[in-house]
Amino acid sequence: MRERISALMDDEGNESQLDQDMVRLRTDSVLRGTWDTYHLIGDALRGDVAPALCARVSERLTAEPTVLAPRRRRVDARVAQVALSAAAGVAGIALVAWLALPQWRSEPQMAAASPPAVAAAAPASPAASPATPAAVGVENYLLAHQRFSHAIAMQGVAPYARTVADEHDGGAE
Amino acid sequence: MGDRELDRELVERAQRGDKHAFELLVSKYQRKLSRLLSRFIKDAAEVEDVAQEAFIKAYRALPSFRGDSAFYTWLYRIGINTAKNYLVAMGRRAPTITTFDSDEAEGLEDGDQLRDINTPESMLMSKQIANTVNDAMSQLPEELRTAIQLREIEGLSYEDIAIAMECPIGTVRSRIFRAREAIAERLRPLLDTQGDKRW
Amino acid sequence: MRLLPSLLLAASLLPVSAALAESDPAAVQWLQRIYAATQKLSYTGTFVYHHDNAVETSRITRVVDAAGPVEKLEALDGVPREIVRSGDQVVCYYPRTMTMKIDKQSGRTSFPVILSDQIKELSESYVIRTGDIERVAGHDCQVIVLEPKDSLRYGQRLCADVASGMLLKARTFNEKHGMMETFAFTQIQIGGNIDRARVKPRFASKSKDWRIEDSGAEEANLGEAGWSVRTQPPGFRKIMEMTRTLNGKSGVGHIVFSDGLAAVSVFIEPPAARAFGRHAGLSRQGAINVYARQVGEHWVTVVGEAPAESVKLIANAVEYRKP
Repeated sequence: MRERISALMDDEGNESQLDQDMVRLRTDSVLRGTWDTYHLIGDALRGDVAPALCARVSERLTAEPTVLAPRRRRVDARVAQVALSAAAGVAGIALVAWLALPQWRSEPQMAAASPPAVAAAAPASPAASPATPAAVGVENYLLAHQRFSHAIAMQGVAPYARTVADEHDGGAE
Repeated sequence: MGDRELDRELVERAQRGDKHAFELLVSKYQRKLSRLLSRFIKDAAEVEDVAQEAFIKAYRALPSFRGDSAFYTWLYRIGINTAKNYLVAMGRRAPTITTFDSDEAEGLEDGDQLRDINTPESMLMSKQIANTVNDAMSQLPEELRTAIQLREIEGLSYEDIAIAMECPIGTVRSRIFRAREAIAERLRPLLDTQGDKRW
Repeated sequence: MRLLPSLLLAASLLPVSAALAESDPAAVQWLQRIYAATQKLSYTGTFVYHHDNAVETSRITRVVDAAGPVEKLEALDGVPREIVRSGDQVVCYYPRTMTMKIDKQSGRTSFPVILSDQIKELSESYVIRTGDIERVAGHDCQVIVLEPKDSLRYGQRLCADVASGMLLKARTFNEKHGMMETFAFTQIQIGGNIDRARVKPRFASKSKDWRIEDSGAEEANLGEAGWSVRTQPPGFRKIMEMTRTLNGKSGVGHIVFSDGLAAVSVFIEPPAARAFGRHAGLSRQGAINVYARQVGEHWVTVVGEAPAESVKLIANAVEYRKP
């Protein structure tokens, strides 16, 4: 059953079992504890360790008048998804985190920036070379480089999202 | 992350009167939201208060959530507004509003992340949790560790992980579960000591 | 300016025709379709740039009409900034520091339409193949993979809208298929009525008080000044050489290398009157690696969408010989 919670929370469970799983979650507080713990693990890996509010919110929720605003029931999940996507024109990509500003960081600093994440967590880290803090004003290099990036030919101006404003103002003085 | 479907499912159930479904969403997003709010509100205890408030507001506003955006996007906006109103009510300056649609305050420094969200009391627990998760991760067999990292940190779908790790999707599902269980086993004694289920 | 590919790399390279044979012709066609779509289409949407542990959201709009194509990118979180590209000019607006950065490259169109020899070039270093159909931003997309033939470059996994050919998601991956960065649309409107006002910079009227930094980029022959890059990783060729103003200094050398997909820039800066507290060595953001070193009193900084190994190789190959 826990294995199903693990798959369910990633939205990779079996659709046919969804209703069943939901009922179990509703009635079994130990199972909800598992849901909590698994999410805690994910958050910890992403650097979000904070006191849980669950219990306190639960308490307040019991006092709240129950919201009843049923939407049209989904008959077939897949059909509904297409209909919804088409109607709203919005994607199925949920965002991982809104938090960190992209900052130039050298390798040691990057590992330190998300404390609970194991240093090996970024599969892309250049293995051996210890890096030192990046030069100030490195955004300017990126800006100058960007127009030659292959990506421009395929993505228009989107890759400029990589650039960060010149916070240090080290530019034209 | 592909769990937009799941969120929508949970929201719909909550809209039909299932409060527990909403609690599952709270459980999922509480820390993310706290982190967001800590960029505006420096006192950790206040962050908790405002975060709670935001969740309750979100619950009350459920009838108006139509699924045009992801649930977290919607929650995020409610969180920001709640924080702003709180600051104004406390007589503090609300964060500068930029001319863009985004309500986010201008580049606040990410200071010591643990400190911002934790009260002195909860700091110890947070550290212990972080350390336990780290230790457990380092002791996992590599394929389990990689699987859970790709899922939780890179946000890849099981299918993408299967491609990356060159194994069947069923194996991915099993590895992620086993990784989670291994870490959870180490965490449970720690969490159980918190009588009021704060964690 | 293109140098002939080195013929000494036979060990890792197949002869051109055989290399082409490895790539799937249908996939090659898809690439051409993507390039064509990028030039033709008008669209507006939001996308995310996911790298390391961060996600950034931006809004992008492109309008093509009689006056030519104009594109605007607007950051929706993080530091506010706007980037507008039209013709061969790119302007970046930073409202917080009230600065405008202008980069104009006259005499050279913004990007060449892909020609068959460019595909040949790509095929030397990458195997191009198709994948499944994947759903992105509510559209069915064809997956195309550019698999690198060695560890000196990153691979790309692309998702292009089946209907229009527009690229809706692009993921850069390394040797271990680890994701270096992803650009993905979360919402998009392709074609249809797109208000030209959306590509207007918001700050144009207020920008009279702003500081303007013009890159003053001009094609140049840096070899005449004594600078050369002795070797490049296989597949990489010099495609551009110029001088420009950078970090407040004029006369900065800029050489661009490309293997048809990845681009790497070499910047050569004359000694500065003021030190910017810079450090030599390696750093990285997403799929971009940066390596800086000193050559005499000059600073050489190499920036590119290639693994650290390649960036370092190029940086270490920069040489000065008094002309």
